[in-house]
Amino acid sequence: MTDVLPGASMPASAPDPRSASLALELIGLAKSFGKPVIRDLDLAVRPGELYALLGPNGAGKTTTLRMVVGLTHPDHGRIRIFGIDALARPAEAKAITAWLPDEPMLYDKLTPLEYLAFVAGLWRVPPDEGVAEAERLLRWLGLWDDRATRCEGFSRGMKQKVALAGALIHKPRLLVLDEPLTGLDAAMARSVKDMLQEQVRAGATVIVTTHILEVAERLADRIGIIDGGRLLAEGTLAELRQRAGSNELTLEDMFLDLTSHTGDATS
Amino acid sequence: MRLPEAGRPAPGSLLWLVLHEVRLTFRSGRRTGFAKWIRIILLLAFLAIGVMVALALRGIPLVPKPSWLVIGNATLLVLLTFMTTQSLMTALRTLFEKSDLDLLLSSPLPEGRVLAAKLLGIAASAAATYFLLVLPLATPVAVLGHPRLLALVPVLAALAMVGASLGLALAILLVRFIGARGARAVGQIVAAALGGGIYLVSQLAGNNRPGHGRIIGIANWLRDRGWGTTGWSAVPARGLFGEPLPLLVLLAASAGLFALTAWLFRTRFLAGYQQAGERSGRRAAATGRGPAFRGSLLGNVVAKEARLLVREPEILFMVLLRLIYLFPLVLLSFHRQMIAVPALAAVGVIAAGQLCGSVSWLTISAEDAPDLLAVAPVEPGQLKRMKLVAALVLVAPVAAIMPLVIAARGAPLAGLLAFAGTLTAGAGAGWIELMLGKPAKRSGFVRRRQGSLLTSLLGVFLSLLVAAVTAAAIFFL
Repeated sequence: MTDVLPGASMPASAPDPRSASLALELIGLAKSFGKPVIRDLDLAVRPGELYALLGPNGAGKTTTLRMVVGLTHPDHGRIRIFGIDALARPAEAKAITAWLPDEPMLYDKLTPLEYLAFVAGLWRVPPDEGVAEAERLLRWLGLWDDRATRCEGFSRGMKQKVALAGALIHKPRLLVLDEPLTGLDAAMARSVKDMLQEQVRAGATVIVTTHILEVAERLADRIGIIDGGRLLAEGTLAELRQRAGSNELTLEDMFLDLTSHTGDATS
Repeated sequence: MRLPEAGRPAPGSLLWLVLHEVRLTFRSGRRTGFAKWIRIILLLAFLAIGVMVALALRGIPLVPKPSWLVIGNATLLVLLTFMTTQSLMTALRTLFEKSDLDLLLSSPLPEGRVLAAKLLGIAASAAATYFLLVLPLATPVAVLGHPRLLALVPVLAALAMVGASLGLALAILLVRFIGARGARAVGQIVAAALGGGIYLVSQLAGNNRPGHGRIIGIANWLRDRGWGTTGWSAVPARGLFGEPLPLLVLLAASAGLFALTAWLFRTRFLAGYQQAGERSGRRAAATGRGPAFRGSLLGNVVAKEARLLVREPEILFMVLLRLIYLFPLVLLSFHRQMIAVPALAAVGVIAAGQLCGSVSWLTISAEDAPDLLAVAPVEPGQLKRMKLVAALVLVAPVAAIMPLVIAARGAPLAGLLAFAGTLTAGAGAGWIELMLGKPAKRSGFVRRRQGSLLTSLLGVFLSLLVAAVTAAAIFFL
């Protein structure tokens, strides 16, 4: 096997038959920037699932996701996206993945339409398909009338919408979003939440980090809580409650209880 | 509906990515119809000048004489410096500041192609700028009797490759040691200093100027030692004059350097990028003692303004650069002893007026958090006056130089008069800003005059008036 990084904590072995049936599989992932940020993280997300990754500030959520989308190299471990080894075959993995960070990856000097044309080109979307999809997305997001205006004057919410359109234009199978609701108004936040559920209904897998617990509680099929670079608990809301031993507990109670043991939890 | 740029060249190809980079570079300015017309008029003017030069040079053979080679080499060196600075700024913008690398690297395109496109884009942007500047001038000359001058095209391309390589290397080194913001400041300072330096040289090189003989002397000294006229050092200039072998050598060498840079860039930069975590523009404040919590409001205001000014070295440098046109005057006044002291005093007064105008604009008008001050329980007029005092305090060390120099030259009374004039001009300029200044953004410093023409004109008028009065008073002393 060539897909194990040197020093990986997992022994090299034949592909796990489970891998192909998982949308995302992280095995023994580790990364340190001077001090360890992610330690021996295992995570499995099933296809068609909306998975919410929760954690206090500095828990390692963003670093984990950046490793998933190929922007940061892990020190150890493996990443599989729909069975594709993302470290050994990054282009194939990236082709079916979309990344939407909290700071939109935009060009101030491009118009929304030019931006979508560019992103569609990066993901090799056939032109006629790209044209139709761009129009559909821009109309859906209420940006159609601004399609020829440069993004520099847009509000934060509008920029986030353009970036969202960019993330969706190549119809990703795995959609990875980092704090997608930051800075959005209630209406926009609602439409993003609707969009996430719509993506899941259409068969896509969505991984989302959020610090808004209510979002995780209401939207997520499964929830993972990480802190200090480790997965502390994982499961459906009911499973988490069961684990905590009380049906009365809210997600917030469980979250604070779990993360307060690892140190720098935020309230 | 058609998506723009859909179709040719193939999306995701290297050329497609390079064109994307170039498009972004040329959009970095503001888009106004006015600016477009200015560009067209400039282009036509350049073309007209080119045609005139071509007609003048029509019968004259352009042979690479030694002096011509020195001039050719010097020109290329100046161009290369400009291209390097431009590439440095492009590299900083496109790789470190408003970087789209996250987007590009999260796409399924090969990483090597993305980075190659970045480097080619930097070179293409530099080349395109100078093609636009130089070709309207040179093409008529080439067409009307000097076809060898068409060698400019490959020579500029070679220069752009070298400039892009140097600029990229500089950008990566600077960011590594002083961070992206610091690197940007260095780039701006180098660019401004280059412009100022070339202005100074052009002023000093003119006939009857104190520096004239020296610059011609340097050129002759270089020529006599064979620099730029024989051997390898002559290759760039000979290429410029259209000699085939030097041109080939030049192109091959720059392509080699470019390829080496591309390879280093790909391996080293990418590894560093993927090893690092999220890059943030945040910069830790200077370590050591924490900020002092001051009881006095005035002390607080002065400390805040001083801190902001010092932390934006590029703006500080722009402020100082505005004084560069006064420099030949200083040299001149040393050259002719007779007018020395009054002229020096006048220069000092004008400089103080300009400095105070700029700095008080920064402290009073260019407040980044006006709402914060508005909701603070302090009377707004009082705050503004304190900001004026802050500007005067900040400028004082620089403005005091000239009166002190005059006093030190054995004219204490003249020094005192110069001091009075300096203070008047400085305070006056600040007061004008206090009365007439409009709120603006700090980043708009370079374009400041657009917003407050009246303020600027009044400031200049006042400075000149006080300078004239001071000079006259010292002259008749």
